[in-house]
Parts: sequence; structure tokens; C-alpha cells
Amino acid sequence: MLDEEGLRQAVLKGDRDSVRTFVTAALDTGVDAVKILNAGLLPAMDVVGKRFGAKQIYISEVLLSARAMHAGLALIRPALARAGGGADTKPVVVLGTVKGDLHDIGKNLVGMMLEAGGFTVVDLGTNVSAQKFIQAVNEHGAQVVGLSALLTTTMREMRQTLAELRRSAGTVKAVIGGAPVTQEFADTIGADGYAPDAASAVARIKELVAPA
Amino acid sequence: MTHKERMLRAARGDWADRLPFVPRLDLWHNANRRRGTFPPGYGPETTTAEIADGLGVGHHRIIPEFLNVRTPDDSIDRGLGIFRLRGYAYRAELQHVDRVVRTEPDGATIVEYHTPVGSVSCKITFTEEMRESGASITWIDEHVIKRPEDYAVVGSIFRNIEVSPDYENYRAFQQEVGDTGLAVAHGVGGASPVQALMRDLVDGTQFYYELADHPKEVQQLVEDMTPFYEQLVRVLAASPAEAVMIGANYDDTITFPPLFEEHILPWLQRWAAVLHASGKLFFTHCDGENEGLLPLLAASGIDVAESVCAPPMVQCSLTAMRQAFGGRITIFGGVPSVVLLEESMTDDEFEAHMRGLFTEIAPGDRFILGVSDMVPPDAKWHRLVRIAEMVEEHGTLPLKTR
Repeated sequence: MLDEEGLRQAVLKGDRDSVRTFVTAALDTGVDAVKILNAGLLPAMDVVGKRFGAKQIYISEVLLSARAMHAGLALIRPALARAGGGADTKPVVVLGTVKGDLHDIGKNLVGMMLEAGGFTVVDLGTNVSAQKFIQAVNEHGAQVVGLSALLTTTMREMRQTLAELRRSAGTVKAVIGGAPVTQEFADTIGADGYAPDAASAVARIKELVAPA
Repeated sequence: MTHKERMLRAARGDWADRLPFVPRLDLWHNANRRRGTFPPGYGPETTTAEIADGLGVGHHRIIPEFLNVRTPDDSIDRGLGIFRLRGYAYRAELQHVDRVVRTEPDGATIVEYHTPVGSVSCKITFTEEMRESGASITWIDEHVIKRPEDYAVVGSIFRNIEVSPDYENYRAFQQEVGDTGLAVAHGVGGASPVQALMRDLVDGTQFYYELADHPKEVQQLVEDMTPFYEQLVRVLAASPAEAVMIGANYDDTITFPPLFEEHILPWLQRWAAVLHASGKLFFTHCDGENEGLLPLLAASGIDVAESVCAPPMVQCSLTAMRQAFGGRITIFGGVPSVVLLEESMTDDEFEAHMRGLFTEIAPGDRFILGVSDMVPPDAKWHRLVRIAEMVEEHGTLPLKTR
């Protein structure tokens, strides 16, 4: 059986050992991996995301919860793959920090919260060229690309990357974020969305992939 | 009054004759020199100082030029957060450490530190893309702490660092700056051992796991690093400098309030007491989102919150900051760098933004106008000129509310 509340609490506390224990016990007693994901891991991370968005918890708690969720996810992934569900059917977001910029904490946080929100995230890391973004978007069939920049100096790269994505990556939606980025800048360069923080990035991307 | 006098008066909470305007131009200068895109009238060899003089603004000599090294030794220990740059008032020398440096085919520098208790290494990068974008500092690609056992090695390195005065080096810098600005003696970027761990010694995301997974190692490292900090601040306090900078890059998400309160605030307070006892002004670099940190910064004992950003780049308004600081801390900054960019706002919006800023900071006490974090390479030159004009036209203190 699945101790749903126990599993959720373990994720909320960032206690990956307990998460592993709950998930293993559930798998051992024949609980469906999809149920473990949808009734335990994802709802807990949804709470984490909301609390973070409301400034009730801090980045360290989000990262520890995300790590705990991943510990559980690693255990159920084989069963999810066998069931033919899970990762393959989730919307794909390609994330990266644009060329010339090596900052990644904000991007990492967005990635973790997107995964918790039910997305498949392809994280290209930092200093990512437009070509790499285009390649990843086409290879993974991404619906959304997230461009991050911390430096004012790399905003120009963001504009160029977006222009090249528009030319070579079909209808992919683009969301931008990072300290120097504003809604005005997003409008100017033709981005589909702007996110001032990780929580709003997830919300904006959910809007973009929602059926019209 | 000279630019220096204006800055000093503002930093001490006294009235200057006019609002000091001290934009940080080095990154803009580096990028535009490289591109050959200086404004009309400025030749390809124009210096940052000549640009500042042309604008009629104070010289920003607060943050060192981390890439402007005399020899590789100046920045070889960047992976430990240690520099030996021109103008520094101290030298930090590693003792009982065998340092091995090699360059990778991709141009990255690997620095290995071999100590009697073990070895650690780091990888420092400076890519062509970073150069083109005008980056002001190298990047730590691999940090010295990668495994729990690395803490003891790094602790041993810090326990054995000898900090000595290098006042002649500082005096030469001070003399060069003269009355054009304030020659701030730079300390280190991490205001405390834990902030140094976060900034320099481990990966930025891994840092949060380290606090949770290895609290004993972190605590031991704090103890091992404390003598280095104590030596450093003692040397800076006894230096010929009027102002000292320690600590940088606070942000209410990254250095969130409980973390700041536990691991940064007590150290800022401690350094403030030491520096104030020697009559020094204490600057710290507050270039992130300060909204959630205001009461903590207000209690920190600092004299100047440098590189303060404002909306639309952050949530924290200058009004909120001035209220929280209650006339005890000088704000240095206020012009968010994006307002200088054409793609972020029109000229009319820029004009309105700046007029609003002057109104917001009136009467202008404890304020040094600057661009936060710095003037970006693509800044519209005429907007910089316009700010300088506005300071000339409307900057007489106390500012009038219009």
C-alpha cells in the first residue's frame, strides 16, 4: 500500500531516505508507479512550488524537496517506462542560460519546479548557443524553450537566440527570465512569456502549453 | 566640492553640495573599446577615467577590475576567493601549500593545491563569449570543494593563510584616484565564511545541499576560515583607506533571510565594529533583490549599501529601502542598468523614470547616485549624458520634490 501522506510529508521535508522507504514499500506491495507519482510525489512538489511562490519557504527547502522527489522518481522510473506512461507523454521544455552567461541557480530552480509540475525538462546548462537551443528543441520536440540570463550584457544574446529560434525551430514558445529581464524587454524581443521568478515561470509555461 | 568630498559626505550622512553621481563604467568601457564603439569625440585609446571626466561624474573606484592583473599571481587563487590586485591594501599568501597550475587545451586554468592534509583543485574559465559580452571576472567552472573530504584541505589552506599589509600598493591607487572619487579598499566578496563557501568554494546550487548534508564539515570550515577573516579585517582597519568594502551579491532568494541572519549578519556586524573603531566607512555590495533583507541590512552596521538596484529590475523600491535604513545607511546606486538600454524603454519612458527617481530620493540625503550593477555595454550614451545633465540641473542638495 502507499502511505500517501507519509510520502508527501517526506518530500515536503526534503527527506530523501524516507521518500525511498515509502516508495520502495509501495512498489513492494504492488502499488502502481503512476499512482505513486500522481498521489505522492507530484502533489507534494506542487505544495512546495506554491509555498515558495508565496515566500513561505526558501530556495534551500525547494532544492531539498526536489532532490527527495527525484530519489523517489528514480525508483519508479523503470516501472513508469514499462507502463508506457510518465516521461514520454509529458510536455517538453528546453532550458538554458544563453551564450556568454554562466549563471545557473535560477535556471536550475526553474528546471526543478517544472519537473515537479509535470514537465520533461531538457537542461542544456549554461553558455548555450542559439544553435544548441535549436538542435535540442527539434530533437526533443519541445513545446517551450526557457532562456535565462543574469547579466545585462547577455540580454543581447537572448534577443539573437530568440530570433534564430523563430527562424529554425518552428512554433516553439519562448519564455525568458533573469535579473535584468523585464516584461518590456520580453515584449520588445517578441518572447511569448516573461517570468520574474521560478514560480511564475512554471505558471506561465503551463499557460502556454494549455490547449487553446 | 570634489567628487571625493561629495561621496565621503554622503557616506557619512552629511550633506554634500550636490548629489554625487558615480556610475560604474569599466564594463561598458571594456566592451566598447573592444568593439570600437566609443561615442563621437572619444578615440580608441580613451580611458575609463577620461570617459568619466567627459561626463563630469565621479570615478567609480569601488570594485576592483578583476581582469586587470599585473601577473598571473594576482588572480591565481580566484578559486579560493582570493585576489592580489593592484590597489589592494593587503596581501594574502598561502603557506605550506604546493600550488600546481596548468592550462587545458580549451584555455581553462586548472589550479591544484597540495597540502599536508590532502589535495584539492579548481578549474577557472574565461571564454571568448564572456570576453565579447564584457564579463568583468573569470568563472569558477569546478570548485575546490567537490567531496566531503575536501573541506579539511580547504580549511587547512585558510588556517595557514598569512595576511599582511600592502599599504604602498593601496596608496598608489589612492593617489591615482585623487579627488576624482573614493578609493575604496577592497576586502573579499564573501562577507563571512559561509558566504565565501557559497560564492567561491562550492557550486552555487550544491551549496544548499552542503548545508543540509555536511553541517559539521561546514562548521569546521567556518572555524578554519575565521582567523583569515580576522587578520584581513584588522589589516584593512589599519590601512590608510577611508572606506573598506567587504561582502557582495546579497539577494533575498539566494541569501534568503534566515540564511543571511544566521551566516552573514553577525559577521557584517563584527566587521562594522572593527572598522568603525578605526574610523573606516564600511561598504558592502548589495546588487541583488534586497526586499526581504531590508531589516537585516539595516541592522548590519554597514555605512553604505553599494550597487543598490531598483525597479523594474527588482521589487524593492528605493522608498522602502530609505525607510528601512532610517537615515543610518547610505544608498549607492538607484539607476537600474536596463533603463539605459533602448530595448527596455523609450527615451520618454527613460526621462520619466529618472524624474521619478529624483522625486523618490528627495531630499537626497545619504544617497550616491549610481548605475546598478554597472553601465551595460549597450547603454545609450545620450541617456548617460542626460543623467549627468539632470544631476547638474536638479542635483543641488537638498533635492526639491517636484
